[in-house]
Amino acid sequence: MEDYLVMQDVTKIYNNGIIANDKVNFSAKKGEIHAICGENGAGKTTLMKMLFGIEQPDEGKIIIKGEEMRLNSPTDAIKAGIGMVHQHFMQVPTLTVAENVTLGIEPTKGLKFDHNKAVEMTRECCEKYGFDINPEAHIQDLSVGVKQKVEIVKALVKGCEILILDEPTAVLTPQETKELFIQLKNLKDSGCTIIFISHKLNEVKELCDRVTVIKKGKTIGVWNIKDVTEADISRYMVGVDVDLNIPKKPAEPKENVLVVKDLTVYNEAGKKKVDDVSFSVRKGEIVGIAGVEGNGQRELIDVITGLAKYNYGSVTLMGKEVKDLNIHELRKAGLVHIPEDRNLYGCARSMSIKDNMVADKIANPEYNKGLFINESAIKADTDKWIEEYRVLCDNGEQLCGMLSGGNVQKVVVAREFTSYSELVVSDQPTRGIDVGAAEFVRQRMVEMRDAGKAILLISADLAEIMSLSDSLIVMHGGKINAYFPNVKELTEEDLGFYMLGVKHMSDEEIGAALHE
Amino acid sequence: MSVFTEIWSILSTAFSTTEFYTMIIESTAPILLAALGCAIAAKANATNMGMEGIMMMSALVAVLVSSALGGAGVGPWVGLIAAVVVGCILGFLVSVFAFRLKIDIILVGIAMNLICTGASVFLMYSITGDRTTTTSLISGKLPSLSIPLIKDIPVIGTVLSGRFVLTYLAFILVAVLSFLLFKTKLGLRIRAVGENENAAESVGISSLKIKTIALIISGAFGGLGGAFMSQCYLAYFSSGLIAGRGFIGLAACTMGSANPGIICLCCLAFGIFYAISMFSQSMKLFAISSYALLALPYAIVLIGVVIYSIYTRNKELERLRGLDSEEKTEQNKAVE
Ligand SMILES: Nc1ncnc2c1ncn2[C@@H]1O[C@H](COP(=O)(O)OP(=O)(O)OP(=O)(O)O)[C@@H](O)[C@H]1O
Ligand SMILES: [Mg+2]
Repeated sequence: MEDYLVMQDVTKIYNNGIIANDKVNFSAKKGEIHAICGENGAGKTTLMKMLFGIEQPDEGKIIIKGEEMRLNSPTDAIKAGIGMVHQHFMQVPTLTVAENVTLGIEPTKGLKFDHNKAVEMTRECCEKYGFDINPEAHIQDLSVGVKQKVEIVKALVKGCEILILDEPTAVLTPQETKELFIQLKNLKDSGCTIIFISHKLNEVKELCDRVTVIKKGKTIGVWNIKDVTEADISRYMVGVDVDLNIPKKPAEPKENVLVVKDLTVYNEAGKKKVDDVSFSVRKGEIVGIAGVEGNGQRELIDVITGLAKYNYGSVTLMGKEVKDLNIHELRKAGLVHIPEDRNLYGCARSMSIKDNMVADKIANPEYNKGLFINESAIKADTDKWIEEYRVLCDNGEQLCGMLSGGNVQKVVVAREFTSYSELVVSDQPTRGIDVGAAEFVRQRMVEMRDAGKAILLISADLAEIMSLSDSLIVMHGGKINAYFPNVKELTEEDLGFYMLGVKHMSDEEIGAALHE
Repeated sequence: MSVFTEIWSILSTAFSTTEFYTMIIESTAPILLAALGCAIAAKANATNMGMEGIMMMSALVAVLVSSALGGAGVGPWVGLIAAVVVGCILGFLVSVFAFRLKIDIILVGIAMNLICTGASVFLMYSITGDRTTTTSLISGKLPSLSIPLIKDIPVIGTVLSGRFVLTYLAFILVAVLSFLLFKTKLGLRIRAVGENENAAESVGISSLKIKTIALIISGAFGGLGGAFMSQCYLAYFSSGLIAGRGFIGLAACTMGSANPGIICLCCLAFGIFYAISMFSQSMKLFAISSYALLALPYAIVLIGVVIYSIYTRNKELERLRGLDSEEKTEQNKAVE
């Protein structure tokens, strides 16, 4: 098999002088699934944007089927048979699936947009590749997993032969991921070339045929997936060995820090989202919350972190009722919070890394000199944290909005982990960050636990939540469905059954989640 | 006479005369044209705040062009075309400033209104020597249309037949715009761009182009509305001619959530209050200040917008509730 797609010595320098890609070489064969791995900010998304015509390379060639191509816009790329599923959904919520899928290549009948034809095209495409989607459903009514499939069908219907997937599984549940992989393998068998970007190396290992590793904008090499292990890949990415197993002593839990008792929360629409939940988090332990998205975890976290109010039950942090404290008082009482959506709640994108990192500590005496801010003290500390948390940037003055997705996350984690804390609420702390950094963050969480902090962890990554947590709560339908005081005995499959609500524990077993 | 008996007498006389109904239809038409223009822009996620100014400028141009051609025969028609062209140009200008030069579109709209207010008076003064109206020019009116058969029906015939050409056009355009937005490829693209620009860009649609087209069409509607005011409603231009109709159109568009059918109903509601206010002025009654009556349509807009926003909020909550229960059944299915 000869190379179907070749990107040769491609260089991209952004307007601000950042060299995102430096003579990158990448090639893919027909009918293979090819992974691209690399640390945050390595330039994976940038490389794919050039292939899809969103950005133009400053140097280098893109060759498809032996023919050199100039791709000036997505339209050119689509014509050349390239489809891209972006890191974030590109859909119009109020339109139907069929309308979204055919947008850009709308079938018409005379003056009219031919909706029947669009539905037919969508249905045909879905049947051909084995996707189960109702073409007449509205996007806004679909679950995340189905939306992801729509995104793929959108590319397929335009007859794409090269499909780019930029972190497609970051928001999917394990079940949805499994299903997606079956479909991707079918696609591959029908001759489609798939480029797959992910930070989850086990997925790469399971799904892909070859892997290209990029580091700091340069190609490190290409390997057959059979010939490398996960540890190898991460070593190539980071340059040093990454320990994928976190060494962890058994927990020594002490007194309660957070106590949630008979908590019931209604959402804005008056719907019960958290239903009579009781549990506690003690000093020196990591309590994980697992569950399929939308089973009340969101609302529960909002209440614990003071972002939402509650009327039934009680939530106490270090003995104080959370409801009665404002966010500032909550933080003073020892709450730190890594929010799920780093862009919305985690950072101010138009402020510098330095400012973001000290935002919550700016009133501390060490950062003030009389009436004024002590710039040099701030700079010294933030520079130290940038280094420690491996934020890839020129310096602390760079704006957060210019960082790659994973590096923004590191800034948020750095700020929260360096604040005074009793309780650490970590909501998807490693979403979108590379293996090296993820291990570092996990390591830090274990260290903080050993230092006697209470940690509440929410993660969609089952492997992460099972390896990190000392005890685990499973939520289903707003209730606690299971409590495992010792996670070691638990299998991933069993956990899945509890998450889906197939299995239930008795009230007594669940009651053990509250330590009194 | 107390206020209440006076209101009662106004309303009872009003609703029993045919003139009142023709007043409703005629005063609805210009607001409707403005609202439809705002709607197509709104669907592309562009607020055409400049509607008022666009109407003002095109109303004046219609008069000037028509009078230059003698104000009769083809004159008013060419004036109408000129008004639409001016509307298109101004709409295009809004898009250039807002999307190419990336100035906030609300600011562009406000600037457009200020400039058009000043420019129209300046132009009028330099051509006619009069600062307030163009009554010294003979610009003529667009004809009325009597509809065969319908005109012979008693009562209804006098209301529905014999209205201005542009009045009929305004109501026909409701259907045309619905068709354009919901049944054509361009409409689909406009809605897609309006809701998620990145999504449209990612499938190779130029959002800049689509938004520009939407604003040009929006301007054309403004042109028609302007021409209506200076060539149907009155036969001259004056500085206070448009009197907020562009803004009321914008409000009607918001209340109708940019949906032509609902917009038409909102405009009719405003039309009724316009008619009441005009009608009672003509009755020369004194217990209610005529200024209060003039303010009536505007007050109604305000109340309308409030009611509308409460309504949409409830609807959204309902949708969320529906979603919740669907989610449940889906999960149950998955379990099975
Ligand atoms: N629009 C832009 N302007 C300036 N710099 C940018 C822009 N987009 C990305 N960069 C920079 O280019 C580099 C590569 O970014 P890119 O998004 O390609 O990384 P990535 O490999 O996809 O990382 P991640 O895994 O975090 O998504 C980063 O240093 C980033 O700060
Ligand atoms: Mg990326």
